[in-house]
Amino acid sequence: MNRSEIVAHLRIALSAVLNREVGELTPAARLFEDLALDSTSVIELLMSLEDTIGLEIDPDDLGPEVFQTIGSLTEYIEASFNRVSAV
Amino acid sequence: MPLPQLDLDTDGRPAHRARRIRSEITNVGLSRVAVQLPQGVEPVDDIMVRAGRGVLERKMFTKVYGLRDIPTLAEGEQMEDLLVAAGREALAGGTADLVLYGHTMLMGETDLCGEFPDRLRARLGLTDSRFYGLSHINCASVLRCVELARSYLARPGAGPDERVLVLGGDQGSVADDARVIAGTTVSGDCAAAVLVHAPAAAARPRYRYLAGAGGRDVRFHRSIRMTAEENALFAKVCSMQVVDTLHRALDKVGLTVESLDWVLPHLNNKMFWRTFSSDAGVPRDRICMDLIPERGHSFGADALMAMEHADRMGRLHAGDLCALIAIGQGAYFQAMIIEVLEDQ
Repeated sequence: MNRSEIVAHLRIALSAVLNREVGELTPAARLFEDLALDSTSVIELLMSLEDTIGLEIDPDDLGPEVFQTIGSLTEYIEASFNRVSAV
Repeated sequence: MPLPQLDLDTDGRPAHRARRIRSEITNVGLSRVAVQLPQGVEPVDDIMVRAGRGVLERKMFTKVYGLRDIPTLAEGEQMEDLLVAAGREALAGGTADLVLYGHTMLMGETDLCGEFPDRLRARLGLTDSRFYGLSHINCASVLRCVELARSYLARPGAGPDERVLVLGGDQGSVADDARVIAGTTVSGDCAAAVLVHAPAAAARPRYRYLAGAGGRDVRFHRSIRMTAEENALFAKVCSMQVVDTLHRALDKVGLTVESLDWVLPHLNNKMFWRTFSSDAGVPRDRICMDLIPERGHSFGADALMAMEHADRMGRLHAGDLCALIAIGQGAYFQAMIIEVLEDQ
């Protein structure tokens, strides 16, 4: 899955979490300040992506640096996909 | 009798571990921690299902937070029995002048009500000792009890053989909806006890208290009744509040986080301590999170239980410096720095 596809899935999942339509996402968009998310809702978002797009996260890789921006979250998801496909 | 000063050199330690510890405070000693577990265990997910929690939150608790099982009182078991057993083990046949019980739940919500202090003192053989409960700072209460014990033993006229028994632990299983803290953790039924010795006591303790600090953030005074927005803000700032409290405790003895061999944490969830690791600059492998999957959160007893576990597993060595940390809803923070002494 490439980055643009990941961002598209993120947009759908975010709309569900925030209960409103989310417009175009830029890599610089901040999860907490710009999108009004918190760490719990971001983790729940990742859990929902495990169910919908087959993402498999490794909790030990999950740190606060992932929760900074759409760009950092996308990188984490991309790395998770790459790790699984490399196994 | 003059109190021993903590300004010390590190005789007998390898040079690379040499530290100079500054202190102007009274350094009481702590016994080994006694821990009592109930006979029952419940899967965290079962409890969350009964509490009506959503699928995503349940998955988050088990997979990301690392919460698997929770010790639970078996049929016929009483929380009071666990507290008595822990207290007796810590006393080791001795006595205490004062008993301090740090708890989070209100006594009336458990089976502890109704002459509980008198029953407990009698069962501990401490009928003539004074007994106080400390609860208003929630899960920070047990480590705060150690602070109060230190103050008590440092009072003018205190005898060198006076001791304070600190008890901790609550009955989380009193109600499923109360034992699940939204977005945070699930609470179990464990008890812990530690004996605090006067600075000049003849008995050599296992640990030496070096410093402590407490903190609070009144923005979160609604505790478990916080709004979603308040919960989100608490999740965002809690780790940094813990880091600040830890720094203040370390500052009192001229130490930094780099000096610490172990952080013995509140056992709320692994994700919180990953964040703390990043915010504080403490490597994850120095935060003893082993107990989170099998015991989860046991209110204010967590850090003492983590210390007992680390010591029992042979991870603590003489000269090690450890930080015990507790977080109370409301919000309250407590950090305590101890040094591991030679085993007897």
